[in-house]
Amino acid sequence: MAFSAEKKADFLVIEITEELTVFNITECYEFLMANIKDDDKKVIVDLSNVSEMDSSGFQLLIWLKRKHCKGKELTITANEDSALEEFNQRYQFDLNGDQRQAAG
Amino acid sequence: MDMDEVEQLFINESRELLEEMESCMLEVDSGEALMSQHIDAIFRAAHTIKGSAGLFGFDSIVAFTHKVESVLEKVRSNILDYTPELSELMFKCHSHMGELIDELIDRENQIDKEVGLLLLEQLDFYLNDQSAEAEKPVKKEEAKPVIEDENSDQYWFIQVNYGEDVFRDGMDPMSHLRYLDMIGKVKTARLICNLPDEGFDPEVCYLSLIIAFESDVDKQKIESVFEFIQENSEVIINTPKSYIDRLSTLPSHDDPIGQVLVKTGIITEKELTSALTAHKQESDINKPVGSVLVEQGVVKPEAIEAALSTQNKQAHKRPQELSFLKVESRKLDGLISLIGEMVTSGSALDLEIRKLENSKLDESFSTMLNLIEKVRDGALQLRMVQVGDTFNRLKRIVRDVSKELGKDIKLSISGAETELDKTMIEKLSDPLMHIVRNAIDHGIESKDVRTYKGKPEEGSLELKAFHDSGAVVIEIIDDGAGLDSEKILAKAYEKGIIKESDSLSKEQIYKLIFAPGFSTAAAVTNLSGRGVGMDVVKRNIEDLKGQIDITSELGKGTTFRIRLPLTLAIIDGFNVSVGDSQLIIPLNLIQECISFSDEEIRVDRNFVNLRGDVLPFIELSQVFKTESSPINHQHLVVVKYGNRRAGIVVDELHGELQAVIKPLSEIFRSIRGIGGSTILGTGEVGFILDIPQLVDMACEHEQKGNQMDIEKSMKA
Repeated sequence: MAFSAEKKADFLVIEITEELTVFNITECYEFLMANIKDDDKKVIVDLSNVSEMDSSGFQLLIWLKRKHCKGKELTITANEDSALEEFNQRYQFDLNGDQRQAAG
Repeated sequence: MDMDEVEQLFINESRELLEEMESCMLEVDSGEALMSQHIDAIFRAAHTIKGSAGLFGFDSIVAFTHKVESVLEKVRSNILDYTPELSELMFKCHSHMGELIDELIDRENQIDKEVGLLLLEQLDFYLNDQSAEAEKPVKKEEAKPVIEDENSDQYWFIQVNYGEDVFRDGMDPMSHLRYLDMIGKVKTARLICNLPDEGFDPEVCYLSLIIAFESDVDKQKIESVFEFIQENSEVIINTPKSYIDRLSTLPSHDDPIGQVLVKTGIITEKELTSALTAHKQESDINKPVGSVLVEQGVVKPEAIEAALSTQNKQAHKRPQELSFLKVESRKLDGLISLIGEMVTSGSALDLEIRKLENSKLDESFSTMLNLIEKVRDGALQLRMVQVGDTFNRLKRIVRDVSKELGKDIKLSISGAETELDKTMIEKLSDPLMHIVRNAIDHGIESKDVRTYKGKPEEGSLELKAFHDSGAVVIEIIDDGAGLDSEKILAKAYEKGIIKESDSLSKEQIYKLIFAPGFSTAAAVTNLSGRGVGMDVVKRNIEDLKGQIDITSELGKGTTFRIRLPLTLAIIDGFNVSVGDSQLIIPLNLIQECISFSDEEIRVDRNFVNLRGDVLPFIELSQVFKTESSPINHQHLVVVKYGNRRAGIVVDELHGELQAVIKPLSEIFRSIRGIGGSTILGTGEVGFILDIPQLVDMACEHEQKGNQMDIEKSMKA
């Protein structure tokens, strides 16, 4: 299973592994829709084990941040050498940081 | 340099700048050019005037020009649209700036401060009112967000609005960034994500990217990066300023603008093709390809301008772009009068050398004479100015007057490159202005009348200049009502200009409008009709040794034709003599010389049969009442000016010479038929014949004689 959701204390921890690309993006989207409930106030998305990612995945994370988890505390974590890192750098876009940059 | 001189410099410079500004504004106004092409020049003119005026402490000029400049600045940065109303205001401001500068010369001449204040108020309206509007993205360019970051000249700015299917098609914006980093350096990237509030589809791409990119590849290469997404996405690539600078290093050429832009890598073939297709569909054929490119957002107006300026100067002729050397006209006059003296002493020397009959001396001196002739021509050429500038000034008058009178007038100009002596051009501008004003005011009818008469609503006024047998001809042609000879006659009787008994030809009737105190306009408008104009016009033109003719057809229009000699300084002449008077006929008027015996003269009246044509002639000995030596063998010099031909009977022919024209003193001005004097090689004084005047005189004389004959026969 590429996606898992687990409740740890206050946090809902979602782990995505292997890939986050256009090929499984709908699957992932549906998983997130189904597992993040209204009363989950603190959400952690762990991408440390994602080895393949594309811009649709990145877009999904933006959606998660801006729309689906609006008003929640969302933290997206990953390793330094994970696929996400390149996106953060090349798009000069900090998913966890200030939203102003992405306000456009 | 004392202060006055510097001030004079400022005044001259400002006037030149104002002229440039005006001609640019006129081009924009008439639709010949785009505002974006000229705004820089217009702005620069205002800015420079303001700056220099500040140096001298001309505060009123600074204050006024500053406002003008601010408004222009807004036009330049696309905040303000250059509307017809604004254009009108700018013309008024331009005139006011001219007045402010004129005031410096003649401080007595106080200008109307109210005008300035009113204009300032109007300018303020544009400055304040529009600033609020500027916040809203009203302009086309702003609707499509083109990235503007002026502080980095070397960066490409790329904006990609990705299409919905980009992810589904297997594309990834990330790969573009990766690739760009291989061919250059991505300086900044801004990801814009326009997510919908509802109905988010993870497979749809909502992304846009704005990239500042540093690289020295051409646009084609950058475009190829986005080749696979172009169908559904929008890619805007803005070329760095440094590429536009490249244009300036291109040599002059005749290539079409599109090719130039492709060559320098500012646009791609693809963009050009699509612009050309759009251009063909454009209803306005005259719209330049460049502006289509700007509209499509592929290129900035500056780039087009820079590219245009590299296009062959011949095709895009603007006198300002030539390089000039400013010389005080006094120095030039000095040079020309010196050359005049040299010509005179050269011909004196020529006489002496011929007496020596030394062939070597003859030969080397003839080379020198040849050189003198070239120097003379060169020096005279220095004084030659194109009439175009004067015509351009008339453009403004036509525009203003026609607006004021509510007439639509199309002004066409041809032969603007015809050259004429500078002093003549200066003296010509007033008469031309009068004629043009009159033509618009009295000649061209109001729109209603024109429609009623079945003429196009838009009146046409044509200014033409061309060379014709040693003279410059300027024609002012309108398609208005034409001159009504009946009306003119009636008016002339009424004013006592002519007597009832005079019988006049049509041409003579037309010439009555040049009589002092004559005016046919029923209502005197503030533009013309006060009857002071036309006689001054005629006098001015006669002062220039020119003639003015009128041809007119009732209901069809009127043509004023002004003939002017090329120069007032030195001419090639032909030396003849009658009795012991030396006379000079301008060489370019002479067609041929034929010998002529005394018996032939004594036919009925003054004409001969020249190869089947009737040729009237003038006996100079009679005209000037000189003692003609009783020889039987005389000569007939056939002269031609315009379409008139006449013979001049003289005693002897002496040959060609260069005549330095010395004006006759006031006392002799009234002598008709003589235009000036010159000093011959022998030291004698020669008189230069004014052929047109002479012929006119002969015609009048003939007509009077004719009338007397008729009267006599009637009495008998």
